[in-house]
Amino acid sequence: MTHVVRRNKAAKPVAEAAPGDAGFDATLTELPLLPNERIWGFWQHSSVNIGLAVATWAFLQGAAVAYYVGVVQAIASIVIGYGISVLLIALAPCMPSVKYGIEQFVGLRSAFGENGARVVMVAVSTVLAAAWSAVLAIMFGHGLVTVANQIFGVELSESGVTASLLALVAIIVSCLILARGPVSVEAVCRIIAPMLMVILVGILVIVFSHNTWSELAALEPLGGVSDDPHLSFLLAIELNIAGGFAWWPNMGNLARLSRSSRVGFWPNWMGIFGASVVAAIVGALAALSLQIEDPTQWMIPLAGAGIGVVALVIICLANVTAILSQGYASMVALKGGGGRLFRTAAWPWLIAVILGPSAILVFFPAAVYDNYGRFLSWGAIVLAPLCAVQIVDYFVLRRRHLHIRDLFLPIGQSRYGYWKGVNIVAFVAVGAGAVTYSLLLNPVSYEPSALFRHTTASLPAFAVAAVTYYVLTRLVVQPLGLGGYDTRSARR
Amino acid sequence: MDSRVDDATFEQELQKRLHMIESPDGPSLTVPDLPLLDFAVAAVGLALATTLLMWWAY
Repeated sequence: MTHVVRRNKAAKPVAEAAPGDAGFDATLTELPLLPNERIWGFWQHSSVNIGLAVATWAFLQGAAVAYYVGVVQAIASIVIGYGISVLLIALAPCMPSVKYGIEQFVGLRSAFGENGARVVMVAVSTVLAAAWSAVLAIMFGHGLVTVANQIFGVELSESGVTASLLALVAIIVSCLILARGPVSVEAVCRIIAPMLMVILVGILVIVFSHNTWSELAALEPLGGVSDDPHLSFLLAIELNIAGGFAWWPNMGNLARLSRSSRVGFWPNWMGIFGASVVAAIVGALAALSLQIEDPTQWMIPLAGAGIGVVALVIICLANVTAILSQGYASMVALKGGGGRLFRTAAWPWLIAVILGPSAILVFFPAAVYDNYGRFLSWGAIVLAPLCAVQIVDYFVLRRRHLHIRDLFLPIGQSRYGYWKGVNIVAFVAVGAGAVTYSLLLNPVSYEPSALFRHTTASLPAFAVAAVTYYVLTRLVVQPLGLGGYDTRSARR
Repeated sequence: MDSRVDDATFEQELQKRLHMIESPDGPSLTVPDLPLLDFAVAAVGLALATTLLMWWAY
């Protein structure tokens, strides 16, 4: 992700780079950063954050919320949901990463152990990145099918093989651009991101020029008026909490590049909160005013055939840039925190690891794109408890103090060695959180339990994981002298 | 594009940086913690916004 906004810093096109070389970049490794390698002030970090947030996934988010609630509750649920999860993510992984300049999954070793953190990193970076890339690629396919139907007067199905093949094209093009390196990624994103901003403003202008606020506020949710509006509101809030937690795998490594803790904290409120909220609200307004859930179907009814097709093509391209951003962030995470295997791996191999599964997923659009809410909840099941464990470990149990050398020592010598490099207690806590989530909101059927209407699912999952981790650490890990929690050893 | 770092180079650079972190006289690689006030402002602001929006949305 770093390179998405760093100009003229292409890595050296030779087999291996060394410190002092023009091609050596510590941000692509798990090394703690030097002060001069922390390149971002407040506005640089904010601009990257905003650039990430204003992407096509915001349209999907807004449309998913619009399925459950009308305009007023959509706005409220988006602000509340994103606010809660962004506050938690801005604490962890962001704060340990910015304090020590460490790669976020290296920082996670204090809670999960070296091998445990690697398992989390590979799972989160590959599975979620593949799934998100597939969602975006399918949206690309839907958009181009709509363009073809409009221009050539054909009637291709948006859920047919043609759309999946076009989605595969998006994945292949993304692979080719990623293979050319960070400069090409940055160049593509720099062109598309402003165009997407113009489309967002355009949607807002068109929606408000055709509807008064009273008319918009009276619009029914896409799924119809519910018998239980409170439950629908809670489902919308849950969707947005989950949408915010979806940023967890990327945000620590962005904060790592910030020059101070404040610069690592507040830009999250500008970008993944502020910009995401605005973009998702625009998406909800468009979906509700047109009563259409699929964002690729909005442009032509909103702007007419000519401008609508142009806007749709831009949105299709914006999906490719979002795949690039997501894919690049995951590859940097793998390279930085994946240990020797990934650190010494060639770039094309990493591309295959990240985007290979997406190429298969695009042929199963019902699994991800058509069930966006369920897809978000699959991520939140794990990400909310992960966030909880790291917050309790770093802020409560370790009082914001990590022994950096021990994060890098061999498992047998590190105070964070736990059981063969795995802190079983951390995984038990995440498991307890995940089970709690599943009991409150079935991730397969998306059926909420009776208790959900009072609690949501992500927040109890977070709380259960936090308490489980704290109690088991006090009762099991500390008495065994594991994890470096012993105050005498911590003071050495 | 390739940015692979060999093991020896990585280890050498890691040791140099760890030494800098642990050296009391060297340049500090760590930055001060987030002031509690910043967190409090964010948390209280969010709580107020949530209350206001819950009232508005019902």
